[in-house]
Amino acid sequence: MSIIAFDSVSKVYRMGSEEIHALRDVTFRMAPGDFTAIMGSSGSGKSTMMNIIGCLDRPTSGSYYFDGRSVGTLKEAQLAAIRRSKIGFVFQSFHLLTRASALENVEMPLVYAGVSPKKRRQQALAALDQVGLADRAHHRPYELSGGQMQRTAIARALVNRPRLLLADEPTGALDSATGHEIMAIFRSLHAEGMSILLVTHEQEIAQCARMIVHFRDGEITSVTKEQREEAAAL
Amino acid sequence: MTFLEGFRLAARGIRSNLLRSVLTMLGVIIGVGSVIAMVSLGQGASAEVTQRIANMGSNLLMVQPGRAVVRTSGGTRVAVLTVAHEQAIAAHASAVAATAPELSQTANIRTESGSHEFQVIGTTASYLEIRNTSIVSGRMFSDEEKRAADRVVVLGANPAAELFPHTDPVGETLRINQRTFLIIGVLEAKGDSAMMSADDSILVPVTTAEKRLFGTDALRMINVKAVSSDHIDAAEAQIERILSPMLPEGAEIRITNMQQMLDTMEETSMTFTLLLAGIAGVSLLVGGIGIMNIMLVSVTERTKEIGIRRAIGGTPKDILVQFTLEAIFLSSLGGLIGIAAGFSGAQLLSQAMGWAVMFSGSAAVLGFGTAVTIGLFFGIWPASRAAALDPILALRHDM
Ligand SMILES: Nc1ncnc2c1ncn2[C@@H]1O[C@H](COP(=O)(O)OP(=O)(O)OP(=O)(O)O)[C@@H](O)[C@H]1O
Ligand SMILES: [Mg+2]
Repeated sequence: MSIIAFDSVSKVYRMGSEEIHALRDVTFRMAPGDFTAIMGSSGSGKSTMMNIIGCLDRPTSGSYYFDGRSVGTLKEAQLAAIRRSKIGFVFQSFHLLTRASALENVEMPLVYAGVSPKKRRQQALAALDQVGLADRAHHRPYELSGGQMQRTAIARALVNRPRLLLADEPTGALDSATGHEIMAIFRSLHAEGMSILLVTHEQEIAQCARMIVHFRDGEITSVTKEQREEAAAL
Repeated sequence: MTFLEGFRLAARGIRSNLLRSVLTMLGVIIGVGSVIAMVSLGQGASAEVTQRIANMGSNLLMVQPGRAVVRTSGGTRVAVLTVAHEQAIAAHASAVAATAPELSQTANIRTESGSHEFQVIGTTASYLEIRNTSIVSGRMFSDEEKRAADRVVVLGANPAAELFPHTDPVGETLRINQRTFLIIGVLEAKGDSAMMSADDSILVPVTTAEKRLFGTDALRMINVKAVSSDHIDAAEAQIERILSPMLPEGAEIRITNMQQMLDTMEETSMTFTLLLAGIAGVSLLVGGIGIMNIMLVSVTERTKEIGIRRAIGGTPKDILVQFTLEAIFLSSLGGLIGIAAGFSGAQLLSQAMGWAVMFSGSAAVLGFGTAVTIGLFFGIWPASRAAALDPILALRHDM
């Protein structure tokens, strides 16, 4: 069964009399344990798609099944429950709480999941350690570099051991060396069996994925699969 | 999210903007504080007055003339109430245990230490029984002295202490309105400082007051003690019946008893309480609106935070709880500070002005409860606005 199943999903934003079709009849499937990259020009609907997949937004039409469950009929509280227990989201612009330390930021999903203070401290420290940031646990976001903030955001996405990790341009604001470090983290997570879907503008980053989905004007134009294996076979 | 967690979050939100939080609480602090202070002082005052009245005994009646003197059709001026009326009551009213006339005026008292103003009451020995007081030094005037209208006085506790701070006044003399009087006794101190307290008075035989001091036989009042508090109505009826044929034409009298005075007191304190409730209501309303205002600002300021919390799995309810608790936290903290400020303010006022205070636990509980309710009432709307935010739009909010 697919972890993500989109059946002709559309998203239309109405701006006064104007209609913006951010997604047009998108049909898409992703198997559990897969590593997929989404590419496309700016404004082509990538973030819109990620938000719907992340249960933050709802399609205007069409249906979306997450892990076999139809999301369209769920209530806000049920969507929130999916977000905190099954999905980790790394946002395009970090979205860390500036008034809290890195550790507290990473702990936050566990607070809403009702984990005891002692246990969530342990888990948060472990997640920070996994992204190589254990020594910065008590720093505030403004005391961290861009790469460190991104790693904090990744640790926060990982801390609840999600089935699906969504990352919207996780390396967009970083230099290529730091970008590679981040990608190394993703690759090891994938090796551990986590499903990963990431948006990127960089061909090099996309190469890490097993499948690349190309977007233009809210539509999927092409899907490239299993590049590495094909390349290896040649 | 647990309640405790929400509480921790709320406390943190308040701490992160301490100055603003304190300023926001100010409305509630002032509201609750002034109510607590006024209730403490008001209850103190009414308890004191009730105590005084109770001290005098609840079976006391006072007969007072509408006007002390009336002019008859013949043109002569006659006193409405005189000693003759008092004696008629004493002789004929079966429900009456004792009577005492009061022929009183403020007079100038002169001793070696200087000149003072005191209330001089012309009365009889039964005044002691009626006013529930006694002699601590010396004696009360005798029937002989009364008949002869001798110039003897019995001092209340306050004039005794003021005029003769270092010596026993008994045997000394003083001058009332330029006439020399011999001090024969001192009354015990009741310590009730009442409006009609014996503590402040100087007693002389009623005949002396009439003939040697004030030159009138018009009584200010006749004190009457009923046989028991159950006989008050009977005594009142008998007094009415005895006096009405004796009164000069056009004269009116008023009979009041202690129960009526207590009732009047209660009515006054009820009005006072309602007034307080009004003031409290208005100031707490203002405090509540202040809290609502700051919570709305806070929700707008923290839109991005709300978006993040929603995105990582916080439900609308979690957000609602967080912000409502923050408002309640603010107002109840303000309430607690207000209670402390109110009590200490009342304490200070009572020390500075000599007013009585009475601290009531129920006022504190009520004040705190109101503060909590205010926080809930005025916090729920901003909080539900926060909870209703669309997470995606909230995330886009910069700041
Ligand atoms: N809330 C909104 N209201 C109106 N239009 C919107 C809204 N959100 C997105 N859009 C529009 O939908 C389209 C797709 O936006 P989206 O953010 O998905 O692009 P993207 O592919 O992520 O671009 P980028 O690479 O720049 O991040 C854009 O034309 C954008 O203007
Ligand atoms: Mg985008």
